[in-house]
Amino acid sequence: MRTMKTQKLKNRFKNGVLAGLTILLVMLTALGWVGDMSLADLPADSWLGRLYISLSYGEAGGFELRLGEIAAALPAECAVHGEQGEMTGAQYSESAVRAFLGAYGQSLGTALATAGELRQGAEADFRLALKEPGIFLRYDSALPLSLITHWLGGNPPDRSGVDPAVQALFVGTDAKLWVRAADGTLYRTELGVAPDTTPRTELSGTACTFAAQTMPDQSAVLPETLLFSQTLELPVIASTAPSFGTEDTTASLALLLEAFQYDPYVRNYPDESTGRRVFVATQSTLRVGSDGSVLFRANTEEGGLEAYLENEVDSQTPLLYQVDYARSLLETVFQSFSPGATCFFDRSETDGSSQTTQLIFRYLVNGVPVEGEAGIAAVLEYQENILMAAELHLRTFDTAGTVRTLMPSTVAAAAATGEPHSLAVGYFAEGTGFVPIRYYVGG
Amino acid sequence: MQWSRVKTIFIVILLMVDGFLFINIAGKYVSGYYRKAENAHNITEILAGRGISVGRSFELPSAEALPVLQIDRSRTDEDHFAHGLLGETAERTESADGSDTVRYESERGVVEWKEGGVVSATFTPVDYVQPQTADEVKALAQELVGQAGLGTALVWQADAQSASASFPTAGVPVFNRVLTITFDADGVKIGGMWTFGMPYITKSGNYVTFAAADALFTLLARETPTEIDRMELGFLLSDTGGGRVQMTPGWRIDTNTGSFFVDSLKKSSISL
Repeated sequence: MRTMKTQKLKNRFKNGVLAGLTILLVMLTALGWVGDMSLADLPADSWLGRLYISLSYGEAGGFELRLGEIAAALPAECAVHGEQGEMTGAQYSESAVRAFLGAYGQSLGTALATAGELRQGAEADFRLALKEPGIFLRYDSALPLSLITHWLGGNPPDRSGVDPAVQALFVGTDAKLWVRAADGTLYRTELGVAPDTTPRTELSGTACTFAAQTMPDQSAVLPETLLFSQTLELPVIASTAPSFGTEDTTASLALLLEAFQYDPYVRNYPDESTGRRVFVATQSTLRVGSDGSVLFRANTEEGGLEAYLENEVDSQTPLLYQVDYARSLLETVFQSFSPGATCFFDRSETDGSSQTTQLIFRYLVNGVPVEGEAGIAAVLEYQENILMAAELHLRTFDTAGTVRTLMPSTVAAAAATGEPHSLAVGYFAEGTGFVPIRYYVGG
Repeated sequence: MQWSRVKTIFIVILLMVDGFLFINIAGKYVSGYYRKAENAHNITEILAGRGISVGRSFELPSAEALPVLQIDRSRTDEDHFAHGLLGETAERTESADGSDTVRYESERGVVEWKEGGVVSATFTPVDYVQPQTADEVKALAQELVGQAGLGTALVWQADAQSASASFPTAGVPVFNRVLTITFDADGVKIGGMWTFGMPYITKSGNYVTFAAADALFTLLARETPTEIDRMELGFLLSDTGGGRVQMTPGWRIDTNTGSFFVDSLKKSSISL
């Protein structure tokens, strides 16, 4: 009887020891694992990542994993049509457009985030819609609606259906969105909420109208063409290429190399045939020319620049991350020779067979794009999340002295003939400089 | 009887495995401790060889991985800040020279926001009476930044003329994100760098581990102090252009000739 009791006690003791040792095993394994773990191993938006960040950096970590909201392209023109019929806008002025977006951008972004499926719209209905209150934006770029929505602070809806390259959009207070695609097609859809078009006293816009309002019979311009009666006065500009690596220059080769994550002491040699200096990393090369050309090529994916981690990005939104990384990279590059230089995202081209996406950036001077081949600031090539190649044409633009007066858009619209055009302003190469020109697009 | 033996065998196996894990982890920590102590000793010797002593309480801190953070410029928050100090009637103008400076002006004074989060303000608050003691200075400074819409969880330092406010990110200080509020007989001056909104990273894995010893020797390549008193890990705010500010991990090194800051990405000492 006593032996049985002792046996029972022994058994209980062994069970307890077994349980205790098993718990200790789990704890020691976890301690060993956590001790070796670093943030580089964990996606910061996973629950484990958040827990680790909270434990390592205090409550909530004080930072988050997300995408920047700085726009890589600003509208060339914008306008608000108020409830009382008043209409003010801004054209080709970075500060005026920024002030406009500061006043109406958030409300517009919230409205665009609720956009439904786009379907083709009728021109006649669009002409009628333009007579009602709403907000209008026109870009000199061809941008997916998801990009515009994100830059305006909205959360882009899933655009697995039609997602055309947008050139202009009009959001009415009747919660209808009208989109003019870069190829001229008109789309429309309903929104969950309408934007706020209440006049803002702090905004000093310029009076303007739509062509559909004041020139209803002029069929040679698109109905949404913004008409300003003021002339535009813009300086003629000249460009110079930065010269890296020479003593008589302020351009910093070290900063340029740093932008592409190259060590300043990386092996390099002059390429006699092209006149460029070639910097050689293990799996990529960077060629820097005295004419401002910079070519980056990665031989393998490991040699490319990682823009984002694939598991951290919604499969619908890689372009947002690609453009944001490209913009950030170009800003760092510009810091190396001309901190004031600006460029904007012009368009993207995707090659489905090679899974390659090309992003094209163009120079912006005084709020006006530099057109033609000479205006291309950079062409960046991605394979999914890796930047595999970049071709940069670095330039500094300075005022050449003379100022040109461009005819008002009202006059240009009245003089238009033929198929419907839109109006734009751009710098075009002429002689040794670039002159501002108002020109017709499309048609 | 059979089960009892199996349990005994399991207990022995678990004891061995747990013991192995314990020794492994303990060994790692002990060797890390000795490595750190040896490292600190070697550095002290190298410094002594160069005629540099270390303060009595100096300890070579261990490096921690910190993220390289971004913060977008928020014109809306800058508006709230300026209107909070100058009143809702303050007029806003943007500079025409493309420098991205925004100026607010009212009968109370002027506030200017520049790129990189640099702010300067000169104004006279309503019913302004110059505070006389450090406590009064701190109380009025807190009231003003409260009106300007800044958070309440700030770290304050004050004397009889001025107060400075800052707040940490990711558990460490941001050395140059400080607002200094100075009270004169005529009015108030605010200067410094500030950021709004939550800092962010665009991808995890973008972290920097910058050893204290590396930072120390980077500094000594340019400066010639004779005593190192203290080292502290934190962030340094820098303008990256395009309306974005970057927070880079870096070290603050206090010496007998002043405090210096070493940036982990630029691998160079900078003055603030």
